[in-house]
Amino acid sequence: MATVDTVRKQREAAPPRLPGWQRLLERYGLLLLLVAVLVGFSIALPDTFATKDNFVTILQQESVLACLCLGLILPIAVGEFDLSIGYVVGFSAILAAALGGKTGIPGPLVLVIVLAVGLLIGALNGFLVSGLKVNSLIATLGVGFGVSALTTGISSSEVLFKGIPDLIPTVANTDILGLRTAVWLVLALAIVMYVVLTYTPFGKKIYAVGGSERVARMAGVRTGGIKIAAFALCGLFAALAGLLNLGQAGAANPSFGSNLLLPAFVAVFLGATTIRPGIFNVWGTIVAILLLAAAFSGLGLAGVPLWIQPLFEGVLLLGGVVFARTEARSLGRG
Amino acid sequence: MAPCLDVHGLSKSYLHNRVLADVSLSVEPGQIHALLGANGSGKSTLVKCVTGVVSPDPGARISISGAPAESGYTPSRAHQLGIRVVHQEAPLVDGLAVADSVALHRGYPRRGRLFTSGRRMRAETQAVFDRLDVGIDPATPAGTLSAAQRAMVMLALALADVEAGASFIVLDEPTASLPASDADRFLGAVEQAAAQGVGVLLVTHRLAEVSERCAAVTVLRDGRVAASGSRQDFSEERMVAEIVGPEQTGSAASAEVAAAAGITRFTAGRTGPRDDGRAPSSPALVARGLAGELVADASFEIAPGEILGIAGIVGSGAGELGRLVAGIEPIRGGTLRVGGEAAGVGYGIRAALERGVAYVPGDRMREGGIAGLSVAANLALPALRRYFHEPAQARADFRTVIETFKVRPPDSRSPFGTLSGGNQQKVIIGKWALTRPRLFVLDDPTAGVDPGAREDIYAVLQGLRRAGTAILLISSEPEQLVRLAGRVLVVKAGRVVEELKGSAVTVTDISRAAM
Repeated sequence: MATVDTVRKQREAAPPRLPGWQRLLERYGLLLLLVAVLVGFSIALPDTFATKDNFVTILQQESVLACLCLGLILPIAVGEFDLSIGYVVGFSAILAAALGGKTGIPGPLVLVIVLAVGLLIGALNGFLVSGLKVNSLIATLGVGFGVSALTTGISSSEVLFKGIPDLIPTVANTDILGLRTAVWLVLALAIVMYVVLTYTPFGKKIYAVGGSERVARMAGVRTGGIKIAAFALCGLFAALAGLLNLGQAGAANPSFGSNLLLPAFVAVFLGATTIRPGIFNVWGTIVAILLLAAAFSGLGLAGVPLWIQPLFEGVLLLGGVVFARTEARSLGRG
Repeated sequence: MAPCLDVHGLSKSYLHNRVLADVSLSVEPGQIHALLGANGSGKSTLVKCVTGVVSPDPGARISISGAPAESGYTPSRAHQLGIRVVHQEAPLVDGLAVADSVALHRGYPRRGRLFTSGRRMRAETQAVFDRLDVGIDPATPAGTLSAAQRAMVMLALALADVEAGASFIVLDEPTASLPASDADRFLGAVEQAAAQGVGVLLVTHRLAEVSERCAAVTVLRDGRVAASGSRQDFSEERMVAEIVGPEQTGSAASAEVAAAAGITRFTAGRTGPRDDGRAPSSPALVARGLAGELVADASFEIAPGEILGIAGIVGSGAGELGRLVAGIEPIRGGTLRVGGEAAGVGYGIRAALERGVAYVPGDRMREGGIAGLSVAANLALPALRRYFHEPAQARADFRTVIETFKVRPPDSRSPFGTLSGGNQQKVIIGKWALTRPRLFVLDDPTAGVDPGAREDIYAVLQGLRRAGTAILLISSEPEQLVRLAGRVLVVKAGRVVEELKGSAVTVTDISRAAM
């Protein structure tokens, strides 16, 4: 029997695609919104919002959250959750302050120890999830509680500010071209993460495991190893975020960190609606963080009551995700 | 008496893409009406319009047993009017027991007003299954069922509904994942239902079913009715001709040669475990007394460039045999040598891949490919590292797969999940062909694939064979084995009961030995 090429070419050569401008809107909608927010508040508040100081402050404040999000993308992209990250941020700051203040270990070593501990906590999460097959919500919640207990134990619930190694503020706060090193460091890490996730075998395996663990395993991917690596790197980024916060604040507050958990999830999920819609991606996440931060700052400066801000965050998250779902459905793949 | 289904002048467009144009179709009570067509011809859209899932363009008239389907026609309204649908993919909840999943569709039996009765739930499901000889324990988790078992559950449910008063059933490729014997049993049951006055619309790719069971035939091509009439007017040749259409290009033989040429291009200029200088005549695979959970004492060899067929009904162990060879299920006894290398303790998926075994699973939706990723990302999956170092080679390889395997649409960026079943299967086979395997294991590769894409896949398999690949072809369709395999092993209750060779490979002999 002959093939049915001609027929199928007619039918299938033109898969249902949205018109060009709609696709562009889907990809860059959030970015446009960011630009609109920046322009809008700049016109409305030329003296307070549209100042160099304000922009610099926003970037510096958000660098800690951005660092955390860069890590969180990994477990989410492999299809798991990590609820321990907020506690790890708080713990690593307390650990660094305590090591510096109580033991006198030199700064560089403190840095290495704290980062290594973050990596190990993440690896423990990964082992529980992929080795012992514990649901990741439960596993990371349990580990998070343990970490939180250690934070309280080490700090005795007090803010630690004595003997913090000089190196840590230096790493976070040195001024380069008008911005602090924390911002540059996070930007560099974002570029690295983007390249790793988009172009390397490791990144492609991350997305493959998230797409279908079964298919990935049958293609010879060590899915367990990939998951452990994703969690471990996430822990590393969380520890780094804690150090950056310690450097910026100059003191370690045992109650800090867990409040970053939800904003981090918001940013990563909102980020998946833009730049590469449907895929958890670095630049989408960065756009989401900046959008939320710029809007908060503008609303705050405009004197809008504080309770409006979480409302705005919720509406934006749901709106973004619903918008992306509708787009996907109109393409017939929802 | 009014027809069970009467469709007149139905058109449907998505955006600016006209999927159905002026389709008319009528199914009489007591009639099994076959709806044929290549993937993308509009069959599924027609089914969706008829069952209220999507609304047709204005101007269409649909009536169900004389009752017109007005605006606001929804799936629940269709259900009220007595329509029942059996989809290809059974909507069972993986984490629940089969009985719970069934109760989700049929309603939960109550104990008092507030509580459900688990015991009665299982008993009712068991009763439905018993009537149709479905050998599935209602307490089994639905997630552990095979694709064939899932289809059987859904069919049993629809037929139970017919007894409860449904007047019209739509079967959307219900037998796609069923082996011939089970398909036969269920179509027999469908026939009985029809004899009691129920109308049946049967969407299928299996033309033999149409010849045996159907009273009327409608063929869709490019969204239009290409041919329609009584079954007597349709030979299988005519059905194929109507499905395919007047414009035909290329012949089967030239497609094979093209596929083989493409496949040899993958092998060009690379080194790997396959270029080990071994004499090509030594067998690609030797199994001696191989045993698994069900399979026992299976001994066979496959030579490079040979297609060895495995025939067996569901639960016979034929599928398990493939999974043992591919390292997916643990080997419990006997020896397995792939390319002269013994499979020892810890033989698993990765060890099988290292020895050059590629496995194309029967469960395409769950194990074959990643729906959310592009065709390119799926093709690259087994060889990510190599393609990272040779991106130009990756692009060339993907283009070769798409061209020589005739993947439609011919765009490596399209999401895998948007491809038709046949094209997904070509991508899955292509993914493994790229790794230059020594042995290809395929589990029912053409289940749910339309006749045109099926020919393409046959050409690819013949191309692989010509390029020197050994192929273990597990199939529930004896016709397929007769056509492709030089030698067929028949598996029954875990044992190889018969080996058929050359001219002894016939549909009758395979079916006789497998039952």
